[in-house]
Amino acid sequence: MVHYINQFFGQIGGEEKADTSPFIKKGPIGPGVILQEKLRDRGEVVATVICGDDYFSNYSGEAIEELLHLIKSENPEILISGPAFNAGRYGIACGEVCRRTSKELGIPCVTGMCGENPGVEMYRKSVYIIETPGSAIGMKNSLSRMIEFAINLFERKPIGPPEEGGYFPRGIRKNIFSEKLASERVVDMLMAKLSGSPFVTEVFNPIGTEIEPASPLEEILNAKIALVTEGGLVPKGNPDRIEGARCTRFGRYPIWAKGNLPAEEFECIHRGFDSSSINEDPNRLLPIDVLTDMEEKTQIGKLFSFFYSTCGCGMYIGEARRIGREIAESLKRDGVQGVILVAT
Amino acid sequence: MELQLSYYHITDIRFGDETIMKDGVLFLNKEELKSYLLGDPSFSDIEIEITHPGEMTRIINVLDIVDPRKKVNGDHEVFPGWMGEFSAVGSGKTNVLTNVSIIETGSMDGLMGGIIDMGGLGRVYSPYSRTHNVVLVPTPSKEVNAIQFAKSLKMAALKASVYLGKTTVNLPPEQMVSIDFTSRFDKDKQLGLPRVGYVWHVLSHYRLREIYYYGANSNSFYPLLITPNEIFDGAVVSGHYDHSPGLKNYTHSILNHPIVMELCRRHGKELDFVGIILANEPSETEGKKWNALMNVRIAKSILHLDGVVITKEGGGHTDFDLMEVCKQCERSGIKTALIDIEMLDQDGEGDYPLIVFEKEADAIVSAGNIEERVSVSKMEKVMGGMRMKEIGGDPKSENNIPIWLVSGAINEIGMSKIRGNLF
Repeated sequence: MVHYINQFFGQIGGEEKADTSPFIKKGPIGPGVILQEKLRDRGEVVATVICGDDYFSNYSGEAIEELLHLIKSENPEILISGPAFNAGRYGIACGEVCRRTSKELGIPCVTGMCGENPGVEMYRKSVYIIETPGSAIGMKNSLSRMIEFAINLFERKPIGPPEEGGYFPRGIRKNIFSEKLASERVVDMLMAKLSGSPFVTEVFNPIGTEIEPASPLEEILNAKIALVTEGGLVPKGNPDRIEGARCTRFGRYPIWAKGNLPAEEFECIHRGFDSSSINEDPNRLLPIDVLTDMEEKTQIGKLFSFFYSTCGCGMYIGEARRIGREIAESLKRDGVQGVILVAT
Repeated sequence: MELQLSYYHITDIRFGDETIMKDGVLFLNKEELKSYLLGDPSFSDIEIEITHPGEMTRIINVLDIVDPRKKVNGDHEVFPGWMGEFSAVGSGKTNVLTNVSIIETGSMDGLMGGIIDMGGLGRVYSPYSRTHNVVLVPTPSKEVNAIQFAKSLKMAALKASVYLGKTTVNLPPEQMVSIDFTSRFDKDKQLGLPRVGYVWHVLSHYRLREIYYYGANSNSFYPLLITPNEIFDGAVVSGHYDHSPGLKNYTHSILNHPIVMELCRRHGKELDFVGIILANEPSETEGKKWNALMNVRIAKSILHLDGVVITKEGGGHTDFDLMEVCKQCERSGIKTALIDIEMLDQDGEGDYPLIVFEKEADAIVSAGNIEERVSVSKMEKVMGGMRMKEIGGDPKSENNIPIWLVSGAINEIGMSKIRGNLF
């Protein structure tokens, strides 16, 4: 095991030594001694890697490479960083060291800090951060919990939920077996609510990302307008194999001329609703007939000659973001200024 | 209105010369049941198989699950609109076999099925891995289309249910439960306990994706007041044959509706179970808003509810119905608690577990992330067909599949212990 600590816990000095560049020493130092005690004969703290908090903060690119190099040289099976308690720069350094080491060496890495430490928000998703009190009074207990957690990781034991493991939630959802049926839990929850007793919801209101809409078109009579849909309209036979659910692709297809029968050339593959009315007349999904009219009457500048189509049924948000970005880039290359987004 | 449910626990099923129950073992005369079901011209043949918990058998193309039950008083029969004289149900006596399920399977263009593993890693997710199963495997006739086939398969399962239910006649049950339900609209007659109701959303969009009430497709229904008794007598039956296995409620879970049972159990003790509103989930926004208004109007002005449990049936768009009713109830002073599935990616990541969220929805029970992958083992035997398009390849192979494919693992009316948790 290798232990990463800062200049203070490394017994170099306080703030005046925060610019200490990374170095390594054999064996445990400072809190590392407690770490070794808690580890007992299950392992050995072979080395301690130390870096000043300021050095890490000011030269983070180089610092992390140097630290990784030092850590790798000991070939550890586990890395422990900190705990950083409420020290912000230290917490961020611990988080980054854990993240990169875990990624490059593939070994379990654990750190510890208190909830207010900015390192928590930055690294909770990628690193296991054990919750500690705000000061080093909690050192022994924190190190003990960190080492036990690290050993469980090392032994590939299944990691329980945050409330059991003592770590900050990483923000993912995993299924577990509850003790009671959902039917019992929902009536329990309602009765608690009715009696004014405390209850905890199992599904939280998400904090969504605000998307800033583009400014409105100044001059619609000059604008090139395109149609984009998640309604799953594709050429018959679905040549690009756009999935009817959990879609990962989009297509770009020529619009049909007025008077043509698009029902002969296109089909709707969306699995979320009864698409027969769209199949009868795709203009019901993409009002190309109306827009072509409007173009002739110069109510819009131009209807772009292609439409973009994907399928929104059960689409993963991550995929939706990526597909949206790619369609937007393509639309920009096409010189399109405004989009009519048809959702189903 | 009183209904007496008598439960008979089965410890084994075997084929035999006579369909009869002896000492907790159900014997099934395969040829007799087969010829009874083959009376329907939609089938050119039907296989009837039996499988037990622990066997390394995978049932594929699972479309619905029913339990055997039978009314044993007078002329009424369970599954009104399908079996017996058309009449109101929910009173008298009904016998139910437990620990045994009838599994409908079918493979045709336009149908979508799930799997049930009786053994191996995948056996822990579905309650139907733990029951003794009678598996119906019909072969569609050449001329029949998916809609006709589905209707016939439903009828076959319900016939099989009553046919097996008949074995309980005159036998003593293990357990009896009395459901005594009277709607108390008049507030003066209330029990002095919180008045609680249940808004039960069902999905009836189009053929092959519908719920039947007294044998009729509920697509054009307005919200209806129904009784627990009718549910246990099979008034509501699933017609979901082209729908994700995780997003529909199997007839078995409806017949044993866990939320309704729970509210019946607690009635008179901590709550006054006033009524159930059966509501469709329209396909357009305007219809959804309209239905929500109707549901809340009934809950508030007719049933005078203090609190309501709300569930949905279906995928993303039905979050609108769920949340709209929740929001309007809360704003009118009715407290709500919901069950909802989570629709994240397979690693449990994603900002939005639900498609629509209203801030009034502060009490939600999770029915699990439907996309999480589960491992299933290599099986020795397959029932229900030779292939299944949702899993592809050799249906016996080991696999890593989304949990929504396991029939019964995800259940939106609460008959599962699987839930999502923050990690």
